Amino acid sequence: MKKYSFIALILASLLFSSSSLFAQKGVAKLNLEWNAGLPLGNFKNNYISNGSLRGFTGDVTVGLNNQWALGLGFGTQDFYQKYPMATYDLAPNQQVSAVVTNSIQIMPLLFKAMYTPFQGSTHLIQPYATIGAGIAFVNYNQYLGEFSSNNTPKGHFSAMADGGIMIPFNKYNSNTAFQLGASFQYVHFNQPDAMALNTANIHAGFIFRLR
Amino acid sequence: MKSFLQKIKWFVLPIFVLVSLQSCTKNVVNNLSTDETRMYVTQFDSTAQFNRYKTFSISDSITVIDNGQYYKTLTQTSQAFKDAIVKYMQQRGYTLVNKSSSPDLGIDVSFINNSSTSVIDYSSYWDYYGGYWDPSYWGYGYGGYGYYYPDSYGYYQINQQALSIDMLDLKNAAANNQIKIIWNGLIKGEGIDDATTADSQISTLFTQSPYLKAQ
Repeated sequence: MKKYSFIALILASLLFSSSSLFAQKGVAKLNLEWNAGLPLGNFKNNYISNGSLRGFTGDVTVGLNNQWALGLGFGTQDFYQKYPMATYDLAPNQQVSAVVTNSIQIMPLLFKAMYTPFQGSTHLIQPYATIGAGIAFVNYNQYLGEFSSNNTPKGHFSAMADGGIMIPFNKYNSNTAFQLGASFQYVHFNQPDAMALNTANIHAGFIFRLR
Repeated sequence: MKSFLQKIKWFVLPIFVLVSLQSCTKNVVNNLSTDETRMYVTQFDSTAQFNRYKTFSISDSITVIDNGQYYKTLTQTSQAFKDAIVKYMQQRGYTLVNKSSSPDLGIDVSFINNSSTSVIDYSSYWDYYGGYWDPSYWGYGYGGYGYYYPDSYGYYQINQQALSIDMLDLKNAAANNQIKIIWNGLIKGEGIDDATTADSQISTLFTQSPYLKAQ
């Protein structure tokens, strides 16, 4: 029993100690992660219901202090769905039959603020929370057969909230770590059938110290 | 200069990565079979009452409009399209007659081939229709007969191949002093010029045109 108590004490000290051995103030970090996105709401109902594994997200941040970092977030997610051949009314006297494919790429460019309550400590698992706002470029094309609507990408307001954990590779240096998180992203779209392109995301990747 | 690059590198990096990652987009056209590349458009004159027509005739050859030049031909493939049109018209209750028997409806078939990089606007197809299909073929070559198509018809761009099927109101041509195109079917996409799929392609046009019936 004494042995287990000792191990528990050691683990607790690793997880919850708060020694500030390696501060992040002034440290620039690059975060690159694979991202999976799932459309929500009218995005899902009226455009694409399929989730997408074709995405990346990342950011470059600079630490203000051990708890806060500011930076620029970026990413891309490719959503795609092919619907079986069906007939649609173009006008009361015009009909079209085609395989319809919706293709949407969302490329956010957001200012981010990241909160890490235990950054600089020796915690093995460090939680984080991020909020961001900025612009997302949306490239939406609808194909009738092979014929694209040829829309040009447009920028829309976007905001996101993200939370997860970081697992530093070295308990004395949490500036290089594995990161796992989940986020919600709002992209204003302003179309009659979808005012927003909302997505739920999970992402995993690595954080690297740049300088 | 070096110090300026040092300052902006953290902002240039995300943009560089963003552009690089954009190449991960799924290619839509590569994920379509040949049949799936096609779109089938039908449009009709909303003033036409299709059940008032009983007989039809189809032109004995098709017009090939090839990069601005045009000529008449009748190949195995074009015959397959003609056969399919006749089959589905008869299924809808129309009777095939010889063009000398004063059919109520005339049907022209045109194959448009554009191998140039430019696109052909479908409106120019209509503009030159009298050249492709001389009204005298249907017995209206005298008296200044021209063709008429409704303004509501959509104008599509054709960048590769297309098949256009046009239904002419011959029954009322004399009264109207013009030949009205009361129905048009357009097929765009890949592999149209294929005798083995002619029936299914024509079937799609008729399926989405349930108003085409003699009764």
